Amino acid sequence: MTPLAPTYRSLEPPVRLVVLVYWSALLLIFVYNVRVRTRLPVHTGLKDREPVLLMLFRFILTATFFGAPYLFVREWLGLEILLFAVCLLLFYPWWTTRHIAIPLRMPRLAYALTAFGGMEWWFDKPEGPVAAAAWCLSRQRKATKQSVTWAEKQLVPSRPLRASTVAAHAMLAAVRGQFSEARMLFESMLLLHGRTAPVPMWRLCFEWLATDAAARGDWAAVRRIAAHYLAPRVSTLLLLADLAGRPPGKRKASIVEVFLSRLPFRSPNLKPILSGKPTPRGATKELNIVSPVSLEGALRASLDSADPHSASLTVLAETWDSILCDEHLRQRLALRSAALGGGDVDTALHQLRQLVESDLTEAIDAVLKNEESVSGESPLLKSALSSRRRRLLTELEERMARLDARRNKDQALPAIDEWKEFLAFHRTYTSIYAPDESPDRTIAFNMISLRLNSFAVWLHSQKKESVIANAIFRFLLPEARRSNSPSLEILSRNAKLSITDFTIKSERHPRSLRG
Amino acid sequence: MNDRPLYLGIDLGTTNSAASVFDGSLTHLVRTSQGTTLTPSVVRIDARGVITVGTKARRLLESDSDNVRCEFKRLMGTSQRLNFRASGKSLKPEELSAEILKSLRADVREQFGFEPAHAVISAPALFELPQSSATSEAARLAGFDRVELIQEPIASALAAGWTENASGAWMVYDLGGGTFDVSLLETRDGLLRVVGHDGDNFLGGRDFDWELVDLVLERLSSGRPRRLLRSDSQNAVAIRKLKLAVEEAKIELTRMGCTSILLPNLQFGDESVDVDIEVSREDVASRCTALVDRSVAVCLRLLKAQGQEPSKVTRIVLVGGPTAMPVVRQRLSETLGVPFAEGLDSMTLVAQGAALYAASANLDARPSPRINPDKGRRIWLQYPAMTSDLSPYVVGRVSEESAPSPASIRFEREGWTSLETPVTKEGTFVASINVLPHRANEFRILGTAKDGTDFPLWPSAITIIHGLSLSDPPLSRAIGVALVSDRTHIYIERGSPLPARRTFLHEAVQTIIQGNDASVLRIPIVQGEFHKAHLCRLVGALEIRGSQLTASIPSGSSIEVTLAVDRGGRLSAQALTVSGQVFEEISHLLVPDVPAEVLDQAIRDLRKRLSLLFASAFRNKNQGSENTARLGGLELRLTEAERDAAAGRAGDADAAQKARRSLIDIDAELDGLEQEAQFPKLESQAVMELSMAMALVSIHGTPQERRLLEEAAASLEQVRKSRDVIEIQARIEQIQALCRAAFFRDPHAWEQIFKFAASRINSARDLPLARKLVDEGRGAMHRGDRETLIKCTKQLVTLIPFDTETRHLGHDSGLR
Amino acid sequence: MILPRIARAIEENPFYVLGVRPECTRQEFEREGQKLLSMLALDLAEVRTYNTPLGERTRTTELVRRSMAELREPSRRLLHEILAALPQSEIHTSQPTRPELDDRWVNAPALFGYGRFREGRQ
Repeated sequence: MTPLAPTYRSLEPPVRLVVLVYWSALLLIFVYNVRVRTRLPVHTGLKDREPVLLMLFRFILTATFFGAPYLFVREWLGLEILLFAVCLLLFYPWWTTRHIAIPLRMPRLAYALTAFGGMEWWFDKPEGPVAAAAWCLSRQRKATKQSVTWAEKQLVPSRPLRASTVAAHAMLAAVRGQFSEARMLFESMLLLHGRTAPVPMWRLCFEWLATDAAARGDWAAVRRIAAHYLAPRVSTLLLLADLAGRPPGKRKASIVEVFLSRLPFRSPNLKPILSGKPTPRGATKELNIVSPVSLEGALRASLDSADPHSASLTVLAETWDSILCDEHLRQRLALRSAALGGGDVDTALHQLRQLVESDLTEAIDAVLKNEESVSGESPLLKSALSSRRRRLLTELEERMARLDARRNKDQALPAIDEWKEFLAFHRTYTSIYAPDESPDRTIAFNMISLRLNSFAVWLHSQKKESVIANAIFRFLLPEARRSNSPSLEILSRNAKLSITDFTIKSERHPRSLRG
Repeated sequence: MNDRPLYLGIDLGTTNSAASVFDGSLTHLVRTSQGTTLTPSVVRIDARGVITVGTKARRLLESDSDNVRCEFKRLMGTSQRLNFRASGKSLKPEELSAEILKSLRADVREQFGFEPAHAVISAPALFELPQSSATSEAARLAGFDRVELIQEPIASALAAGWTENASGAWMVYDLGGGTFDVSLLETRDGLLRVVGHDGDNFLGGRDFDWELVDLVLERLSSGRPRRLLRSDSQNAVAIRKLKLAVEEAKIELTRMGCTSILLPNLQFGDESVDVDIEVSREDVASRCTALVDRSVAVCLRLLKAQGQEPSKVTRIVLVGGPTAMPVVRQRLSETLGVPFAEGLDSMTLVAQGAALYAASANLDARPSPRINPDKGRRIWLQYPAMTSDLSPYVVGRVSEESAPSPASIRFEREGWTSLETPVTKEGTFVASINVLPHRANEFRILGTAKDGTDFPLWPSAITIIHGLSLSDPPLSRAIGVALVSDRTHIYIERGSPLPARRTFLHEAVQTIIQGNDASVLRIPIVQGEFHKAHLCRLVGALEIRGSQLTASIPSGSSIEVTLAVDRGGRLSAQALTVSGQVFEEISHLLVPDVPAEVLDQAIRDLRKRLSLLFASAFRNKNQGSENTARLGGLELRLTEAERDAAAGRAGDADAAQKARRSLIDIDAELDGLEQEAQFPKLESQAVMELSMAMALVSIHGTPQERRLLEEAAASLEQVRKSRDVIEIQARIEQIQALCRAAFFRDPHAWEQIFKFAASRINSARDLPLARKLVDEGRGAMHRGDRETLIKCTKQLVTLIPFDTETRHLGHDSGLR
Repeated sequence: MILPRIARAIEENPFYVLGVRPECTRQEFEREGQKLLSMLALDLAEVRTYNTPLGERTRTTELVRRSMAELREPSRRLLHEILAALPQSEIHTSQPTRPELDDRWVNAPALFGYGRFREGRQ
């Protein structure tokens, strides 16, 4: 019997070199893979337990690793290379996809490799492979319609949603040039549980978002994305976060920096991201209104390209308040009305007021997006806030009523559409309140909490959409905490129960949720 | 007639049609081969398939009723077909209208020596879009190359304004055979503007006839064992004969106070009846005043919508045969008190106005002449064919040929020559010319070459008529798109000047999968002013089918929808998807058919709602009498709709359509009344909730909640004045939410709920369990065990039938 | 911050579209409107655009018709007179005046392997 232990010393020097290179390559790949998998932050609570089969595969790999010199000694070099290739494909399919198929822009190869690849993608087929294929297509100069259609057709609409599903749709949207749709879907992945997609999908999501934000110049968003608790601590994100901390105008990395960031050697330095230092912002343009205020001045101010700030908004609203109450203007209009032989001054001023108020409502949206609050004594501003609130609450109620109706009729949408419906609902809800404490938030929560809970229970129990249901519960939980709601306990329980842990068979059928 | 343009206008009426030709100075009525100016809208097809139109066909209406059809204008745009037994033919209403139009074309050829290729055809102002579309189709079938539609009130106004030559606000009251239109107009500085219009598509002379038929039937039925009913299909032939006789009697009563209806041996089923009944003007007045009052209500509604009083209206122009009835004139004088415009032929005014409109649109009725290059260099001209401006502009462009262009152009008419207007390098010119007032002005167009010699041009003459300028016609009913929430998104408001075009972005609520034919996105297009889409009329739908897509459209994608309406009221629509695909085909542009069962069910539902509202109105002392009167009016209309539905069951498709429309209108009004009836109850609830919320929020609320409650209280006062049901409901919800938020901060909140629930234990669904929970809860309360208390309370409330408390604590839907 | 509806109302103000003064008579704007419609029908270059305080805009037949209809209604005309207070020659632009405020790294997606740079990435 030949010994299994390698007889390295018995090898010829050239062969020793080859074996050394071979060992180094396998070691690098192994280390790289392990490091990426362990880079998820610990406070997600995700335990990276490997499935049994994967462990077996790794054992075979290790055996091959140590058996290599034996084979070299016996001069079965061809077999060794073949085994190497097979191991690579079997154990590191994503690595092969990411570093070979995608750069070569071969979508069908990327799809096949990912689909073939082991336990990692077991629960995410065909979504993961489609995301990989779409990634290839997005790197092509111009993706053909046939290839895009082929990729779309691989998705199965009836499968329950996972984060990979969202990633796949997002990448397809990016291929079609619908970047805002892609951004919206990738951002929505952050609402999902970390376990609902393999790590490579999360990395894809965060890197896409961060590079997209950098392309738009939204460096605060880059920082936010890199600091997210689900974000993998990979060098690319760290580099981008680092760039966000630099002064404006110096936020472009060189090719060398980019190349180095893509190597697996840089250790994660979490300090800059987690330090909480604010992203330096460029100088902003403020609104300038000359006093005393005139109609021309108000019109000029309305066309001024000042940045949307709370202070500018207040000034603008107060300016229009004074114009709309101006007696001189009213008298002038009355004279003109007489000259025209008709025309109601009140009607004209009311129409003007409505125009301004509608615009102020949109401006409030922009200011709130910048995480500022809006307040003031201006009647126009108060009226705009009030009508905005009313509109959003009505919209929220309508959306909720539609969800109720579908639940009552037992009509579910395809998974991705169901998710998009929830996203639209979520968007409306989060638009309602300002960043600070606001009773609007409590009102909105009270309006929808129980019904949304029931809807999520229906999704989980009847439609097997556990991932969406879990996202809904996790959305409602902090809101319930904030409002001291009596439904906190139920939501918390539902959130825990709606996760299906694939590795623990005993918990595959959790106890029923409370609706 | 010389080379001057001639403009043709056609009034395609329910009972009679007419045509008129305008030569630039005068309107000439087109006469039929019998010498009359009116062509009855009646078509006969005999066994050989020969088509007869007009007076000849009308004569056979009674004796050959199976092969003669009339009053099919109200069926335009429906899928209804009309059968002709002898020939076995089955024609659509627009095909029959095409026969009328062919007859009128032939009359024009006979009188004026040319076959008209273009015309303006009138349509009622509130014609639904499918009906307008059907009218255009009829014109095409009749052989017209190009037609424009004009709303009848505008046509009447144009004709009346042309002759009246006065200024101020005035009204056109157009009561035709089948439809009623009223328009408020203004003439100022030569500009005729339609301020607004209203009407009723199911009120006309025909309804007066049916009232009189019912009167005769009632008189015939007295003393008989069996009532003679209009809805009885056995009486159909007799009813038809009776209606013709009644029509003649009605016309006679405009000249005399009393007349007789004589029809011997009229067969009602098995029974032969001799009809010899005297009908007086008073009889007509007693039966038809309600109908006239309906039209007056529409007039007052229009005036109110425009912020006008009847006293501000200078005169009323009466249009349509039924306006000759003394009851109509008398009632209008009594109710509106506006003088009538005299000296106008109410039967042909619309046709004359349509011809004038054709002139303003420069729609020469003659076929377009061929270009004759020998006549001179072609120039393209733009100018107002009819204007009130004494110095209009003429804009021109010399055609692009590789030949010299004139250096300048001038215009000449009798007694005047314009200055030389230079032609630019691009071959264009803009010239101001002078026109003589109130006549057609013919101008010769003369070109001058660079060397000063004459430069022949073609056309070498134009005609500009000085008269009225017409503002763009307004859209009669708002047009929009129905959304998934049963809301209407209005694109083009009622009264918007036409042509109009609007584009909005919408969101797809479902994914449309490319290649999948079952995957369809419908964009329903509706006409009407109601917020609820189901109350508006569905005029068509754009469909985006998966089988036509080049790429799937995910849910949430933007779809850009454009609706456009041209001057004649024709609709076009377009949907643009994110992938850049355009969809333009509107399907189902038909007025929907109405099964009898649907109408019957609708009537039953409406009766039920009406009775509930009556009960509520009797209970409400404050507004009871006003509401009762309104409900009474609605009940009458419902009864009328029932009669029409019965007539529809007997085969009268027009009556069925009328019933359908009436029921929709009654539904909408009941909706409004139901909402109003809710208001007092909601008001009390709001006050109660507010006082409760103030107590709780002042103790347990945050400063922001207190501020918000103050705002809610202030806005509640305003809402109480406006009596807006939706607003007050929103305020109540807001106050309830603030109240709940504060309530649950009270450390004793759960104790209070427990005590309340315990007090209702006797109505528990499971009494032993409820008792057990109460005991447990009491124990927990004494021990200070909050967790157990909450657990017991929650279980207890699920057993006890509350309203809001159950829904809230039992985690069911319905927090509102 | 620009108020978009006010800006649009100024851009499409009938007085700017028709090129008449706010104090013009009805005859003046009707005549001017009719002339513009005729010139647009024949595609004369000099009327394809018009000036507004927000720069040059394209003039269309529908815009001219709509403007004439708006000025015929006295209440609507009053509103447009208010909004026509700024002279047509006064230009406001919404472009950022400081180039160094443009902090975008547009090549980032391509460099990190997420697709080629596309123009107008929104």
